[in-house]
Amino acid sequence: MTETSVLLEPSTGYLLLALFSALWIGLGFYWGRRNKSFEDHALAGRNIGLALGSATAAATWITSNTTMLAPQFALELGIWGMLAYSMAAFGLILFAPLAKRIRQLMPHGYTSGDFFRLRYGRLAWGIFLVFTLFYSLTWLVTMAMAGGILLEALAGIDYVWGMTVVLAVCVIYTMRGGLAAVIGTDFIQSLIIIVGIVVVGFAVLQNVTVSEIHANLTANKPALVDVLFPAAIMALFNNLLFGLGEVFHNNVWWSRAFAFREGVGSKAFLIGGLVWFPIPVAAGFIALASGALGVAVPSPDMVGPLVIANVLGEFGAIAIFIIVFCSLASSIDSLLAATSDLITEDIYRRLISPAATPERLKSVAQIVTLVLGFGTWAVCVPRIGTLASVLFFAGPLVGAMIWPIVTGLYWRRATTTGAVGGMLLGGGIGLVSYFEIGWFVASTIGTAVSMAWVLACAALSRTQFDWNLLKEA
Amino acid sequence: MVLFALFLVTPAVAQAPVFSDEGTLSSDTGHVLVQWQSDEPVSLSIESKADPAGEKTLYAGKAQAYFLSGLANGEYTLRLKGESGLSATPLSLTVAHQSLSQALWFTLIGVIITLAIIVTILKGARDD
Repeated sequence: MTETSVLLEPSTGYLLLALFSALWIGLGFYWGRRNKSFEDHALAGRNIGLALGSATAAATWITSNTTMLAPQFALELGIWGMLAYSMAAFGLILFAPLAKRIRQLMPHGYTSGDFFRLRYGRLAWGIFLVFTLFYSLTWLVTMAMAGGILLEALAGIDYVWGMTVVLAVCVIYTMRGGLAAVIGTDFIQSLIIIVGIVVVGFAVLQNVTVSEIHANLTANKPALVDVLFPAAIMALFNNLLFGLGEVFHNNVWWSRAFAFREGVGSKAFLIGGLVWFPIPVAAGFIALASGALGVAVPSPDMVGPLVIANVLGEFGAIAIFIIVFCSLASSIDSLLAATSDLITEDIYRRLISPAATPERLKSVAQIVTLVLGFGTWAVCVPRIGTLASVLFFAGPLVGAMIWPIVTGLYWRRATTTGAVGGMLLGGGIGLVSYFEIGWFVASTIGTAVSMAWVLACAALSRTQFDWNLLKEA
Repeated sequence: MVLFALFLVTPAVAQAPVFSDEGTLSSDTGHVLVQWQSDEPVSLSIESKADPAGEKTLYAGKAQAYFLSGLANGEYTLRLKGESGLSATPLSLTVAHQSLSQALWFTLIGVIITLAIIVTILKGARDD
């Protein structure tokens, strides 16, 4: 049985870290050399094609959570848990038609905040900013912390050093290259991650058959193959709605909808979602094989790396190190870029300096990226263990934003009262259910309450919103 | 001086391993993280009255934790034994899963919401 120890020699870990850091920074500088204005920096000139668009959609959604938390879901919740994680793919798939609609209604838009401000007014915009910044900053902090923890667990690299390097590399190439660098590196990172996961999946199958895995689970972990496993059944649609809320509201995805060339967005998000769908299944399958392979798991979030190292030895440890680094970088860079654009556009430009030039806005976005990086680093250094669980509080908050966004994009009669009440009631009651019942129902309840309020307000409304108001230059 | 020499050559007495949690553990999801302290390698085993196979060894080695998952409803006893033969006080684990009817109701709500979102998006804007 496996002991708790590092999987890779620290010297190999430092070498891999240095090589990939140099690669991402070099590419960031190369791709950022033509950025002159805020539009170039934030939206890559609104000219991203289908290949890069599909790759960035899939890669950004493959976070360290996908490679680490999907196996944990499978280990805790079994087959349903594995599928529950994959349901987040519907976030990208259903965003495909929304991306087309967003581009059509807001040809000059920059952020998801622009939509809330123009569609529902300042109160709804303010609530949206609070919800989305809580979600984005918590996600950013937990990713950076995960980077430090995973590099330490995989290669014995000191937590603060590992976290600092991952964060610094992403800050440098995002500052220099903007969204073009983020999307370009995402393309390479997505290829590495997908090839890595496929190789690992086949390697596991060389060591143990599906029937052996099933027999082991049935004998020792029967609930994992039980079709009526209550917590797992509840997690299925809860995770789908959490994923929908994450994608529908966050500027990470809206900035891509604005950046993709005309007609590309809907296809890119659909392809990205379909590419992403099997990845949590493959990652989860690795965890389900742990028992049949005799791998003891001292911590559920380490089941993936432990099984891979057990099956593939040092080659597997190198593979998982690279996969983890790529999945961390592809998410941290996107969050840094999208959050800095949101703060630059929604707070600096709209509230502080409406007359700022495009060059000035680009500089502000770069400074904000740097400040976000420093702020994240300062929060991560003390390594507050409970912080990661805070991200799950965001489930009902993002779920409560689904209906204000969907109806706001398609229905003239969707109202500000509906949006404000839906977000506050859905978010609030969802949070209560998080503590009273469990995380596996919080997004479902938050979304249900928000939906009931938004639909009731729309049914009683006589408002006919003028779509031209969204076309602000 | 003799006493000091005796102190130097006397081997350290192994301490019995102890579970970090005392008394009874409970879970409504079928999974639980079992942690312990021990100066020596241990073996962790589990026994359930409902399981005719009797006591099963879950782990043997130097780790200080084991993640147990996929357990069905029931009462379990966890035993921890050190290499020297010393044992920890057994730990009881009660697994009582969430209500199935509640789970099915929440799943139904999830299905309805998801279908409503899909229909709203596919119908699109009819009043443009």
